[in-house]
Formats: sequence, C-alpha cells, structure tokens
Amino acid sequence: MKLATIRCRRRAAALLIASAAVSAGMLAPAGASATGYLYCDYPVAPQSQCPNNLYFTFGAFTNQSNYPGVGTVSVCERVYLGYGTGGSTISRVCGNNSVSSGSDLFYYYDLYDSMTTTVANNSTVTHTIDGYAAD
Amino acid sequence: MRLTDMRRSRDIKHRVVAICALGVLAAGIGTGEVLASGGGDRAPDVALPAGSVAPAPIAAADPVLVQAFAALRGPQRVGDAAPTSMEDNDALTSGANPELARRVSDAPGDVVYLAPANGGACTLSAIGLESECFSTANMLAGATATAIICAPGLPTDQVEVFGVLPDGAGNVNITRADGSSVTLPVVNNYYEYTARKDAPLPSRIGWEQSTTHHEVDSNVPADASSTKCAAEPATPPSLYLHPGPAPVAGP
Repeated sequence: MKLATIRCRRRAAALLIASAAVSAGMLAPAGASATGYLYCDYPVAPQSQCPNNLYFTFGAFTNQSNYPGVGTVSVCERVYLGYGTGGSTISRVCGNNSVSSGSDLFYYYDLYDSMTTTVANNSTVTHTIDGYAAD
Repeated sequence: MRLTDMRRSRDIKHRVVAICALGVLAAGIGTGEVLASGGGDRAPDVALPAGSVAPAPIAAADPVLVQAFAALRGPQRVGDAAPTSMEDNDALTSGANPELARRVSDAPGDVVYLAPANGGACTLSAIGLESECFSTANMLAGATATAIICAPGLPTDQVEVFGVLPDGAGNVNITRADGSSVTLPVVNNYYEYTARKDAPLPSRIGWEQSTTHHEVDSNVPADASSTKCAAEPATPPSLYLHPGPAPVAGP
C-alpha cells in the first residue's frame, strides 16, 4: 500500500483524496510501479478549470481528463510546471469525453520536475469531470 | 533511460502529492454520490486506467470499425505495425494493439499509426504528439477532433487539431474563428491541421457524408492563444516513448 509513502503538505487532504481513489479502485495494487489518483470528480463550470487539482513534487507521468456522463462533452487536461497554476504549461490536450497527456510529461518526469495536474470542462454547460493522474 | 527504470529510481525518493483547493475537494467528494445517482453518468467510452495494470492488447479490431475505416482494412503493409515502444499510457490501458496498427501518416519528423483498441482505436505518434484513444461510437460519428495546445514536439506558438473520419467523408474543411475556411485533406481516414496561435484559431470541422453535412467542434479552447507553454525541450524523441511492454505489477 502506497499511502504510507505519500507525504502531503496538507496531510488531511491527501488522505481524503487517497481514500476516494481507493474506493474508486484507481490505486495501483501493492508493489505496482505506479500510483494513480482520481481527482476533481466534481461539477465544473462551463469553459473552466476544475478548482481542485493535484501537485506532484517529483512529477507525474500521465494526466487524463474524462467526462463520465452521456453524450459528447469537450474536456481538457492541463499540466503546469511547478506548484499551482501560474507556471508554464507542459501539456494541454482537449477533445471529446476523454483525453490524455500522452507522452507529454515523460521528459519532465525524467527530470523530477514538480507539476500541477488539472482538468477542465471545455463545453458551454456545467458537467462533472474526472481527473486521473499517476506518478 | 527506460521509463520503468525511471520509476524504479524514483521509488527511492519520497514522493509528495498535495491537493490544492482543499475546500473544493471536500465539497466535490461530498457531492459525488448525489451526482452519480442524479442520472446521466455512464461508463466512459474508453475505460479509465486502473493503476499500472494494463489489459492485454486486443486480438482483433472491432469489425464495425474495420468496415467503416479503410485504413484498418486489408493486409498490413511493411511499416504498418507500430513499434511496441510507441504505446503510451492511455493506449496501454485501452488495450491498444500496435501489431494490428496501420500507418496513417508519415509526415516528415513524425509517423502516426491507428491501432485498434478495446472499444475503439488509438492514434500513436512517433514523437508522442498525436496520441489519443477514441470510442467506436465517436469514430463512426467523426467526433474525434483533438486539440493540442502545449506539448513537447509542438512549437509553443502553434496549435494542432487532429482526428479520424470514416470512409465516405468528403469535402472536409476546417472553419476558423473569423469565419474563413480551408480544405482539410484526409488521408487514410486521418487528418491533421496546424495553425499559429496569433492567427484565427480552428473552430469547426465539417464534412459531407451521404449527402448530409456534419460538423464537430475542433475542441480548441477559447484561451488557446494566450496559453503560456513551456519552451520545447531539446530531447530526442526516444525519451518521449513508452518502453515497450505494458508495465505490470512488480514484486
């Protein structure tokens, strides 16, 4: 179980999201090389970024945005260098229902760069958007 | 360095994950159950990954897709199968099979493949740029336009839109934000369009099929012009690629 390896600036918040991820079956099994985190999973205003995002001190290798509902919704994933959303963007992909950072983060992941992963609703109506990132 | 090696070395270090906007997060989790029972939610078109455990690559392409996409029909030519090193995380977790892929674009500096996957197909790119997975339903509807605003391999002053269209899509064009439109070539069911950020951005993609006009959003966000992208790293493409076989749970 990887929870013990998570050091969080806001430990309570980390446990909260980790619990949510476990209940959603998103965490890798014990011993797996990756740990995944489900986040956002929250109604996001039209053409807005989800206010809840994840910060990885040593980077993540994937960030994905997913619309879990019926129909077609434009969603985006976006990853910033550093803490918060003020830094340069190193991956931004938008598409229908589900998009991935692909291999955009690999270079920075290799450098142990810190990153903030976010997801967004690129449509004109409020929708629930799921984020998934793994380190 | 192989990605698995990178991960191994990173396991030595402490990893820190912090969640921003704690209040919003708590509210989101609190309302999750209500939203889930509120109707409308369904399984994603392409399943979300479950950790690092990837499903086995599919054994055969969806016959419906094969029938609708000429690029997936017929025998593979030399160079059609995508190198297994090209699989990215999304493709891995979607069960994409690079051995069943077809090369749909070989523009200088990049090669793009279309690989059948579980419930759809994924595009795979030699430089990791046009990598996305689509459901069968979205592929048949032509709802695959994917916009890249910032990525290694894409100049920071450009945006790119790519996607696939089924057989029979004709008179394909892309309409820009200022109302102007240009013909969009579709080769092997695949299209790709690059524009400068300081020019009118791609807005809609339209085509005729069976005498019916179809249009989809380009998915380029409204603020794409002002997005500040990190400078493109001078890195060999091999560093962007996933190292072959699917990552599996280790000891």
